[in-house]
Amino acid sequence: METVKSKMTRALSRFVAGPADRLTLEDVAPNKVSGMLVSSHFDGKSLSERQDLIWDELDKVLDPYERTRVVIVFADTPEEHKLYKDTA
Amino acid sequence: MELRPEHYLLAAQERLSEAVALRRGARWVLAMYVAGLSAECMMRAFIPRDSEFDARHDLGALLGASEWPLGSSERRRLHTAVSGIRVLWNNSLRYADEARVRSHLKRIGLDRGPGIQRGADALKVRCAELESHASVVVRIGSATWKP
Repeated sequence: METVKSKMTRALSRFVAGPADRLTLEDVAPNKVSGMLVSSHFDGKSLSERQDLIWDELDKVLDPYERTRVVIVFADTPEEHKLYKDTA
Repeated sequence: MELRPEHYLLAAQERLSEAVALRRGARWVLAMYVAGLSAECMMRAFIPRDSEFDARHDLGALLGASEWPLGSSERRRLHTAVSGIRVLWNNSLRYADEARVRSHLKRIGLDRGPGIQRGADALKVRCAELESHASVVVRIGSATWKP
C-alpha cells in the first residue's frame, strides 16, 4: 500500500522544476509527515495562495484520514528559503 | 496535561494546517480563530521553561515574554506578522458567529480598504490575510527552533 509520504511526493513533485526547487518530507512520530516545498512556482503568491496550490494537489491523492496525517507543508520561494537558512 | 516547548511547536504547525483546511472549507471564523491559535502556540514554544509569566491569550504580551533568537530583519518580519494578527484576531473569535465577525470587521473599518476589491467577501479576504500572517510566525519559529 502506498504511504502518505509517497503520495505526497507524487502530488507535489510537479512544483519541483527549477534548479533551486526541492521537496523535503520528514516523518513525525508516530504516524505523521511534515514537509518543506521550495519552489519558484510560489513567486508572487501570497502564503495562503501557496497553501491552496499545495492542497489542491494533496486533496487529489489523500483520503480524508490521510489529510489529517499532514502536520504542515511549508511553502518557500528559493529566495525566502535562503533567508530562512541564514536565520537558522 | 504537561505541555513542553516542543509540543507547542508541533501544535503550532498542526493548527496552521487545520486553519488552511477550515478556510478551504469556507469556515472563515473558525479558520481565523485557529490561525491565530497557531501563532499563539508558536510564541508559547519560545517562552523560557522557567518563566512564571502567564500572558493568557495576549499575543503582544506573549511576544514580549518569548525569546526568539533572531536577527533584526527576521525580528521585524515577526513583529509585522504579529501586529497583523493582533488586528484581526482575539480569543473571543471562538465564541462569535459569522454575522457577528462580519459586523465587527465593518465597525473597525476592515470590510474595506487595501486588499478588499469591489464585491469581494471581506471576511474571506481577512481570513486569508490572517492565515498568511500566522504562516510567517510559524515559519520563522520552525526555522529558528533548536531542541
